[in-house]
Amino acid sequence: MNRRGGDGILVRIARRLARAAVARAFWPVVDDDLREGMSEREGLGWPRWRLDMWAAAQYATVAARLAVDRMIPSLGDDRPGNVLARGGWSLDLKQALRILRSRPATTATVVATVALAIGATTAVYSVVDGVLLRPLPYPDPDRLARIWQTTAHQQQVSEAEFRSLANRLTPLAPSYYDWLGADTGFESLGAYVDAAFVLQRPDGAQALLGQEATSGLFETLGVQPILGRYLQPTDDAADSAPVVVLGEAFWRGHFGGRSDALGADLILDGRPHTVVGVMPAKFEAPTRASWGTMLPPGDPLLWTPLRDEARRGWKNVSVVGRLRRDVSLEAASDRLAIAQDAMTAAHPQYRGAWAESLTDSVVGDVRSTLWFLLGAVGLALVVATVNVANILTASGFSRRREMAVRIALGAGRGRLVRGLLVETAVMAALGGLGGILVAWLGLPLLLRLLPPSFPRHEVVEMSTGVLLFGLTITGVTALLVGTIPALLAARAEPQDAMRSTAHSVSAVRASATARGALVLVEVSLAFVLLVGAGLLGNSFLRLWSMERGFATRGLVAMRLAPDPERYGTEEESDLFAETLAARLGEVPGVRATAVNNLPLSGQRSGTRLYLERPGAEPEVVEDVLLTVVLNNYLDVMGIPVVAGRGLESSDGPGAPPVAIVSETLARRLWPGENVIGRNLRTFDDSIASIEIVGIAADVRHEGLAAAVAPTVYLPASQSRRDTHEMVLRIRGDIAHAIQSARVVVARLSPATPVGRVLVLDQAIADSVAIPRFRTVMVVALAGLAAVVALLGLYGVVAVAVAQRTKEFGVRMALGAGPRSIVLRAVAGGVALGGGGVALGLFMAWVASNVLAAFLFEIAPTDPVTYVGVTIAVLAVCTVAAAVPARRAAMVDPVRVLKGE
Amino acid sequence: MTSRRADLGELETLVMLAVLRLRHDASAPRIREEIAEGGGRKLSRGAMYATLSRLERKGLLDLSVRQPSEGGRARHHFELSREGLATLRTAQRHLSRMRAGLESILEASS
Repeated sequence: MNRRGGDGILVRIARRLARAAVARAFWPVVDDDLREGMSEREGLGWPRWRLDMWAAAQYATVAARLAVDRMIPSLGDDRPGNVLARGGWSLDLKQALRILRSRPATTATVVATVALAIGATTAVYSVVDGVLLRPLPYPDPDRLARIWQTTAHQQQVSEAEFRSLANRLTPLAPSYYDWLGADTGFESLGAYVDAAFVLQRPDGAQALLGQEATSGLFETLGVQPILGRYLQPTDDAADSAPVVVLGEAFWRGHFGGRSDALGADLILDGRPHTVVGVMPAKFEAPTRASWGTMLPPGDPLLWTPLRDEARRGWKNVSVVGRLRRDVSLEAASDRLAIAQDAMTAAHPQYRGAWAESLTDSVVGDVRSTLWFLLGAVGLALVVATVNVANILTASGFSRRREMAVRIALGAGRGRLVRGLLVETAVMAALGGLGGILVAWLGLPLLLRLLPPSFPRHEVVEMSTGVLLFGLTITGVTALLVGTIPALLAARAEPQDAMRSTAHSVSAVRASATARGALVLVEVSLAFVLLVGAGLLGNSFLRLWSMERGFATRGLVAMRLAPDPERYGTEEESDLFAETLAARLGEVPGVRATAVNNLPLSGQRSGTRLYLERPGAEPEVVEDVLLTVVLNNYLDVMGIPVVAGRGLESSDGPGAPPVAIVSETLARRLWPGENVIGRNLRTFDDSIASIEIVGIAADVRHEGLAAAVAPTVYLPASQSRRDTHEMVLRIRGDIAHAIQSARVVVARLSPATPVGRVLVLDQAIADSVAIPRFRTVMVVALAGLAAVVALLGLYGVVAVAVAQRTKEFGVRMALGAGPRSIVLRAVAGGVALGGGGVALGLFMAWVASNVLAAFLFEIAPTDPVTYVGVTIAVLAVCTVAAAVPARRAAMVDPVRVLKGE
Repeated sequence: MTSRRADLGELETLVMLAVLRLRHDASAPRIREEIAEGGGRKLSRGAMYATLSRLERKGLLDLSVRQPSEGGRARHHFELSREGLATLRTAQRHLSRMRAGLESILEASS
């Protein structure tokens, strides 16, 4: 029966291997036998996969066994059969331990190298496991999606810019309500916005963070409350009674975890809200993988209904959806886009909508970073492994005598190989245990390196999966490391090795060739890592030295939530900000101002501009950053006014409306023309006409890597927007000044809590935390790999020189100068290094695309980096080869020849 | 070429004895069964084929193909070569010389 056509891929591979290993005349015997075996088992009713596994395993063992038999024919002669399957293991183990103890230096080096490499790999893997592989904490998380909108403007920008976090827009609330009624392929949709609440307590006010959410959010995420109920459709109605759902942490803190919390009233923003339910600990609506969410990492504390009145507003909301079982993510995304197209007439500013899997949305661009780091740490692991193989080959070579003696005394070669493999396995096991210990100790350090905004880092731990991973790579390492040296050592010929002086030329060659090849691989891999480190480091420096557009030194932002009872109206709220800024400015060493959203704080307000043209419809400019400021804002921030004037105290509520535009906006509005004195209108400040009075320098609002956003500045007194971000420019001790500022706020309004306080220098550092993390990790790994590879190179040259001491002595006796001897020895080392570099260049060039996504303003094939790393590696290789070579030149020819 | 000493590995000996016992029916699967039954040892295919091919390389075994008279598939089977038989005889002779006088101990201890 011929089943060949139906063989699985594994079977075919194993079969091809076996065919290569088996002599041609013999092949039909083997093949017939196995095919018969297969049809026999098929007759017994084995399922297909089991049959395939069986056949693959059979072919593979035949291939392996015959390959080994060919490589070392002597292996089978005196110890036929499968050496691994015979007894004597405890003896081997005892012997291995004894030998390892007798060579503490080699053992310690090997165990430490393996432990470090496996530890690093396992630690990085545990982050990968926790962040990427663990499902989100919602039932059936694969069907959850996050929905975004795109604007006309965004459809024209590059893919990279589009992908950058700041350019994904949360949908407009009206769009969300439109989707609810359309056929979008979602079982349920939910919307939410981050919100700050002021809770009035008998002992004062407390700022709380939470979310306003529709009932659909809870239904979509599918997590049940631990007490009471979550929000229901009736709560979505505009006239429903105010209710609140608590987070577990708040419930414990405020109500001591008692169930009579249900029905209690909380005064939130001046209105009593009835507690209707408590959500379990760790329940949260997904937040974005960006550094600037308003919520600090951790549980949002409470949820209030996002009411239907949002239907008419221009609020942006986060939207999640649960896919119907019969609809794929792509199909749902398409349906959304179609639904959106149908509505474009109503909301022309948004042109598209798309869905992204919730996991992708939460994990964000961290996914690629983590896989990349796992790859980098894997490369370092390979370098370490290869170096251990190198060390063992050298030590095996120096133990040739021992092997020869054992063979001469009647030890089987198979048994010798097995003994050596047991030694390696013991070292690998020790290294693996050490590695798991290293990972366990190192994981907290690694987590501390992660930026606080790193998604899901709180679920990272040493799980069973992580331990299994560690054990697996330990096993693979042991196999890789042990096989070559063991096979080489078992080739020892008693008569060669027993001779006291002469080296067996072939044994020297075999060992040297193997070690040379290993070093070449080490150097090439280290080279790849170094190129990566060079590119990332270079890119990070460029990112960090990006012009920010304002002075960050001593700049602190305080988010306020003014007491709604006293500062409920627009005018009251404006006045509060102005008064507070004035009072704060009286603190010694402090200048103060206020703004709606601070650059690099992660928050933005967009608007649409209408440019007035005489005798024509106004031209529309989409997606302009709207910054509402107190009049001294540009001054305090240190943003230069490059043309016209800044805002002045005369630009008050009654005065003619004025605006300042950023350079980028000016260029975009009227390229090459004078913009001062021209007029525009903003979308939501329906003031008739605003005159542009000045141009301000550009500011990087949305992150150092993001493009400069066109910005319009409006005075707070002429805008309806709030300016609740107090900005302090502090000379001197920052902590002390912040303390004083808190006192000032409390004096002015005890019921106004201070929300988060942001030190801008810190915030900017946080904004590049992920690139920095990536860079630090790769630079460290590359450094480690480079040191290991160079030590390997040094070792190979040193041994080669030692073996040729006699030759050098003879040469010198015949008149060769020390210089030519050194050159000869160095040349060997440099040739190895050069070979490694050449291979590394090729690999780096092939792999450079992987890096492209992580590089900022530098090409993945940046020639300067490649040339620089090449020169550096070759230089260090030369030094590593020169040190032992110089020693060779110092031999005394007389002594060498006498020693003969 | 000087002939090798008559030392055979244990497994090699077992395989050759099995071939001899099976006479004209020494196909690979039968050899394996024979060793499992009489030799008390379940061989992996890998080990068996390694041994078979080694014996063939040394010229101790011959591989022949038999076409069944009533059609059907060709069957491969092994036979001892003349040298193989001689080698086995030598080895067994040495073995029995070493065994001579020890029968009471060796037989009783089983």
